Amino acid sequence: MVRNLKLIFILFKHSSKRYLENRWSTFGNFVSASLEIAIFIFFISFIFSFTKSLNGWDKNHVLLLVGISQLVTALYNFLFRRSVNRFPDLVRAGELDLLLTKPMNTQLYASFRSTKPFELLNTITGLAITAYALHQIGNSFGILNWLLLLVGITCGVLVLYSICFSFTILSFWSPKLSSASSILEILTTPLTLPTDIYGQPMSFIVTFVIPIGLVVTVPVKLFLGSISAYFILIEVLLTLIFFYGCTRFWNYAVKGYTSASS
Amino acid sequence: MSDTIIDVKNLRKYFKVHQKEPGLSGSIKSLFSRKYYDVKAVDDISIEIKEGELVGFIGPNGAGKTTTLKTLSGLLHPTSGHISVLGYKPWERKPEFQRKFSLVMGQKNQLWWDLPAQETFILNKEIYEIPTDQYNQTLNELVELLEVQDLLKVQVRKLSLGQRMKMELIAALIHSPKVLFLDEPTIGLDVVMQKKIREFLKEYNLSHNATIILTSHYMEDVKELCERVIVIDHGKILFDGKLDEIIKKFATHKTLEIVFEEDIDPEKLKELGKIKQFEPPKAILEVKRSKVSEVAADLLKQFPVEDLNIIEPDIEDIIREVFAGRLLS
Repeated sequence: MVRNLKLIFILFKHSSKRYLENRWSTFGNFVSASLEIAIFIFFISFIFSFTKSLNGWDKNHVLLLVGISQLVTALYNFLFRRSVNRFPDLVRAGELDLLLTKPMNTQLYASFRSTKPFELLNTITGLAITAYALHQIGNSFGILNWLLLLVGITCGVLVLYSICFSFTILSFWSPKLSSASSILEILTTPLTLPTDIYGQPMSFIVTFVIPIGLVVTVPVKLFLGSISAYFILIEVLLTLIFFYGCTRFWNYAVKGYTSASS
Repeated sequence: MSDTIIDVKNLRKYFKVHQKEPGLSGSIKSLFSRKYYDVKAVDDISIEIKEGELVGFIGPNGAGKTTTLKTLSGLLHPTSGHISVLGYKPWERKPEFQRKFSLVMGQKNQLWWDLPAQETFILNKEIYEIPTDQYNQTLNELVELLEVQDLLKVQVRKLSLGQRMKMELIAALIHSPKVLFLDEPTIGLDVVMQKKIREFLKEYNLSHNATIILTSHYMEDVKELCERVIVIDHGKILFDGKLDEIIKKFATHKTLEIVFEEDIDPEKLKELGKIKQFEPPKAILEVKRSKVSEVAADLLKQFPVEDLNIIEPDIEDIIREVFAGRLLS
């Protein structure tokens, strides 16, 4: 465990050094991500000018959801996005060969080899929207609520990682596959809306089957107290199941790896 | 034998490859129904390699050299057969095993492209859990041997191909592996750099008693480094032994280079062997190995010979002919 953390720290350090060279593109990404969020907030304000609530969610609660979803995706992008999206290149170029001969947790290396430290900038937008939404809601929340939110966000990032990484593992069989980035787009777009608005059975499906509801809606509902605190156990359990499934899938793929031709 | 550290028996590695009919209709058809066939990349080979040996694997493209190395290093799961490297089954990829070998591929790199090479060495220090003292000592030794003191802090992408290969070797040897698999380590390098890499490998093999298996398309690599050579083609071993034994085994002829004192009748010369070249006063004659002494004596007796040389065929020519199948039939 300590060794793995040490390894993650070194990979993080290496990535930071590498990205210091590309700071302008990072600032550019920050501006475009913030703009995207600003447009979305405008869109939400527009919708709520016609109605007071979306299946029980008022404007400020939806804004809170937008803030948390921005936070979760920024954390995912910071930790995993680049490594996950570029994984098929490793398979295609045969560089995975050298990785697999090393005495380490290869999934960990493949997942953290390209962290993007400057993506953390985007968490500022998420935190700002969250703070604004909380101010508008006006309630004071206890330690338990914050703790539930923290665990929920951690689970959300892990669920997002498990889904995207599982898709990228498919490149073992089809190295030209670049679906991980598209999957992320598909998954993160509805994150900014509460899954309740889809109605049943869709709401159930997007929470438990294609678990995007676990990523943001459930943590926010836990925080707001609109579902029982015990639901966190289900959230953690489902996260562990998805993460375990992803790891098993990785091990299976690595075992059958046929390597690129020299 | 006790000092055998690589033991391979009846190793087979087949790949399933799908066969696609030509054209757009073939591509569409292959989406729904595919025909597969087996490619026998490695087909029933057996090898024993002892500690400290430096063995050369030679063969044409697609012969099975790299697949063998990948199977020995645990990257590929064998289709069948027995493999033991340092007492481990490589495909189990046990960390204890992985700490004891290294794989270097001339066409792939493990160095972080945008960072100085020393950053990759530091990462490997953690991956291989090398104590700091040992790391510093090994690094200094390798840096000195490869003369790269000034390049440690230079971004990898700014290094020349040869300099990069030197750094790749340091990254691969920083944990002092007992076994080193080298897949075309000198590919693309100029002759001076090839020589330097060869000298380094020879020195490393001797000083660390490391077992090295090397594949290369350059015969010079094999000639200079490897006492033992394994010739492989179509996944099968054609020869396993000392390099000079290849000549004895496969070269059925020798060449006689003759300079005559005066003009001679080529028709008469033909009776003694096959004329490869006739440019008076010089001639080159190919004769069967078993008849060389007899033919040389006849030449001296029947012709006004000023000079006579008996030449062994070039090893590269022999190997080229072995791969072309001319010496096997």
